[in-house]
Amino acid sequence: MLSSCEKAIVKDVVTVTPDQTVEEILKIFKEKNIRNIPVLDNEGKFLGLVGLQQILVNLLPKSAVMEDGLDNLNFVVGATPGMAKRLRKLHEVSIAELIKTDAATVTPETSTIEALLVLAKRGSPVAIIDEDTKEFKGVITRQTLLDNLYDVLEEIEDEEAA
Amino acid sequence: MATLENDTAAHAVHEAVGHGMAHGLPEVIFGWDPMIVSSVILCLAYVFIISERINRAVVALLGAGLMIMLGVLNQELAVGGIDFNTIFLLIGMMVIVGIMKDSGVFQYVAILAAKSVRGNPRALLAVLSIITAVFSALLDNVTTVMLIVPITLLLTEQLKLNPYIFLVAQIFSSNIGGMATLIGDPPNILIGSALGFSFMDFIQNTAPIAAILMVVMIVFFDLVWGRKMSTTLKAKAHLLRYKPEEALTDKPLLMKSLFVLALVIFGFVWGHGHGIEPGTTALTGAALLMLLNIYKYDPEKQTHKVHDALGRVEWETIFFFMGLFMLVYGVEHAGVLAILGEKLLTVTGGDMATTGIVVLWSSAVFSAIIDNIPFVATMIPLLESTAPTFGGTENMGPLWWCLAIGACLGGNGSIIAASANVMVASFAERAGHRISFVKFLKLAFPMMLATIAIAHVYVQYMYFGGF
Repeated sequence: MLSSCEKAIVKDVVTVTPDQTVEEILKIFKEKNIRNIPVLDNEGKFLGLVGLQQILVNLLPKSAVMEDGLDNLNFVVGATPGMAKRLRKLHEVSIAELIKTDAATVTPETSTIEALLVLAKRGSPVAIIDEDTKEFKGVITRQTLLDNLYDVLEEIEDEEAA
Repeated sequence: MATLENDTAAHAVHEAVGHGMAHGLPEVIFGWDPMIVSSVILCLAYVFIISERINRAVVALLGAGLMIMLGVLNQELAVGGIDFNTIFLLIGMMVIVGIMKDSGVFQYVAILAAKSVRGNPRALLAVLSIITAVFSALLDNVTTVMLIVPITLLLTEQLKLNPYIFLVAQIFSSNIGGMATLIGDPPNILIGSALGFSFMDFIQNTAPIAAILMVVMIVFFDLVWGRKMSTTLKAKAHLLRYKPEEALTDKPLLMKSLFVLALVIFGFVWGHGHGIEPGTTALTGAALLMLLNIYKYDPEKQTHKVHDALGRVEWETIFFFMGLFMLVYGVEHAGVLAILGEKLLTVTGGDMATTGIVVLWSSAVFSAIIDNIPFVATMIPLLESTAPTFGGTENMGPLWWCLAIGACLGGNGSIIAASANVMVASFAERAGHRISFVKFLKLAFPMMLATIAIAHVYVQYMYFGGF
């Protein structure tokens, strides 16, 4: 029985490069029904995540999303067409500008309990990178980790039955 | 902080050290000269504070610790050097404003103003400057800009204007506005507290020049930038649809805070003649506002709310002040400031007008280079040491006003000269409109000198019988 999170890793993951545009990744999000995507450089090193969250933040005025910015925008009336236009403008932007560089990462050797903690605290997915080469190895998600735990449970129950 | 007593105390220390029988009195290690030790500590602290490589509160606290460890002061003396009136005033106002800002009143006023000028950029530049100045006079500058800058960025974005000049105007307005009252700017709090000046003393002495300079500044900004600004009809139409009342997220809270703020300001004015210092008034006001805010809740929730309210206090600033007071008291106690005071009198020939003008210009320049808070904290005991020449501190009014005006206006001289400037710059950076040190300096330093020139004329006529 492995104590590391390796079994929960999804290796076959769609990734993008920083020069791709927002329009392209929005298409991927919709087709694959995902909300986040890992960004890799040409050598396969992990740069960070881009998600719908970063797209949403970029549709809002900086004065509201910056640290200590405006708490509410209730007083702004009729801003919807403006936001729609912003979205159109954002289509052309390369995702290099939107990468969430402080995304949480773990290594294949990380224990399951630590991986669970990272997922619980930082959200899903969490990228798996090689500790030395920083090469991207895949992701773990809440779902794959739970699936992994079910596998373990099955093993335990088999043992108990025997 | 009477000079005579300090001199006596310093002599007592010297003697005690000389005879090696300092009971409870500090004793400088290795028999070093306390003047040299304390000056070195203060100078090093200044260097670190100016370089901004190490957090200022940490520098001040370490310096204060050294003053005690090396025997310039003992803990009792060091604590005695802390002006708790200033500390209480700062904490009290921070709690009140921290609670008040949740009500959305600042956004409300700014949006209302923007609508009242129908989104005209030129007029908007002027009204936002005035709002900044008025709020800065009643609240601390850092809080004011923290609340006015985000809404300014939104309004300028809506009107498709570059926010740069708006932000520069707000830096100037916050420092000029803050100069107008006892509580507006840290130098004033320090001076008012140390010399016992009342709220009204500031209204009579620094507020008029603040009003004059605001008018001059607004006209200048309008001539150079305001009249050239334009926006589209569509952008204006968008802005006119804003609903300012929606920005008021908590009306009962606003009412409570305004009530307490009014009470506190009344307390400042009334308390002065009744032996109640501003620190007491502000801290009691803060407690009252917390009470109004929590009495309805169960004890657990109350603790949570009070914890939150006290968390709004900028403890970094408070500890910086405490450390600084102890540091400065170290050099004062060692007798260094008295010597510097004598030097100042030699330069000015002991003439009140000359001394005043020297203090005005030098405080402006020094405050632009270093943070104006440590400068003023050092200047107060230094000037107090010259009291015998001028017939006591009570006759030195003009010098204190020169110090207050010079230090507050000096805060405009560079982007690091006052904490509010640093705050504006950090917001501007977050929003992608960086204010560079050199670019700001080129504009602000000459403007600052111009405001000091106007203030020079003002003090000359007000206090020194004209030219």
